[in-house]
Amino acid sequence: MTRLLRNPKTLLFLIIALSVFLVSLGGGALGNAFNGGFLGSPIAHIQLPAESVLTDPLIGNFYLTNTMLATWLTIAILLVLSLVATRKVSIIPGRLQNLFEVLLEFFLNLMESIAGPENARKFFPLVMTIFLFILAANWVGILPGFATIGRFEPGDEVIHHAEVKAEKEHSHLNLDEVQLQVFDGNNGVAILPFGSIESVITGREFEEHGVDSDRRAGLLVPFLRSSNTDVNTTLAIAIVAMLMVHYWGLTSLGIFGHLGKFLNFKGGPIGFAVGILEAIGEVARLISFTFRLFGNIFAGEVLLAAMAFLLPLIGIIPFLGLELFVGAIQAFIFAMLTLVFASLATISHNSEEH
Amino acid sequence: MNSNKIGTILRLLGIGWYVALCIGGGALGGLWLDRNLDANPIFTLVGLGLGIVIAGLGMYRMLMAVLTSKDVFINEEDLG
Repeated sequence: MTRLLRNPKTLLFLIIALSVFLVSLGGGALGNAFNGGFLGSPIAHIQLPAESVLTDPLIGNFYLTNTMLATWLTIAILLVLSLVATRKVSIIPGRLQNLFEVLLEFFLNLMESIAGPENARKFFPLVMTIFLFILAANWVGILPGFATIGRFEPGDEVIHHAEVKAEKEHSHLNLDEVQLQVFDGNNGVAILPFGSIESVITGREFEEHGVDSDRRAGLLVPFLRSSNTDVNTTLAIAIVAMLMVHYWGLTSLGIFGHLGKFLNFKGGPIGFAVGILEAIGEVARLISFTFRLFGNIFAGEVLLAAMAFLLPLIGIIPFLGLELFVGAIQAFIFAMLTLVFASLATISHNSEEH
Repeated sequence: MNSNKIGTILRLLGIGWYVALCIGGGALGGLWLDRNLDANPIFTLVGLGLGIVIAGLGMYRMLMAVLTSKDVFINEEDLG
């Protein structure tokens, strides 16, 4: 340790890293208690359901949500990437083609070793699509601009929504618990700049005193939010995956062979009970698919929001790296689980036992 | 890591969810029945007991399937 510290380069690096960390710490929420907070902004409003980008529903009761926009953006990115990568396919691949070839080959080899060569080629399109989509969605979700730029929702509307929600839950709304952010200017797009960490008022303060005429209080409703922080997205992927798993089971074992796993009248009462266990297991798979992905990505977003509040701008970088890692791992797990379930569905019940 | 291990790990990943669903589902279903039939706490206890039994049986089956298979290499040639 002392030898390392004697090296001037290491020492310089350590001093720079430490000072950068201290600047980040002082500029955040902790530094705000000591007259710092010059980098921070109020903590993001965290809510479970996806927010509507427009104030009015698109059609009937259908709202255009920010997670949907992010999903479309992800699809567009994947489409453009794959078009560019396959536009000029040559024997000596270009850089992008090479990247895709390495990725696809790695997966095909892995899948062949788990499911066998024939099955692997049958399952490959779906498994790879799931992997690429989830990976792209997770990585796109931590780009700058996600969850930080959005529509301004006026304070009276926020309080009104909170009142409606409290009424539904048969509880009384405490205005002190409603947090509002204060923005400068009067344009439609809301951004919280550096050093705006104290621009927060409670619902009661807003009702009693209001804000200055050149400022406005409300909430930032982001235009874009990571797609997998919406349980609907993950449930949709899970349903597609499980439907295809059962389709493959049906086509390779026949209707009776596949459904016989769940409704087993031949094996007596014990066989029937085992069939019921299998059926419950299928439901558990769907739920685990949905909530594993949703939970991991949503927790990641909350972690990033909290870290952006505590250690803004610089201290958040390691956590962004962590989110890149978690995003890749979750995509891999989802895709590989689909493969394993599909492999299990295509082998008959008896051969699995022996 | 070799791919057989990946397969085993992935199959074991689902067991926790299965147990949680059985016990949680049984207890919540029982609670709902109790509220509607005004039989507190009979169905909650029955649901919880049933959930635990089903979770145990299912977990035993899943673990045995993993443990008794020579490897998790789900290959047509191996099965034939």
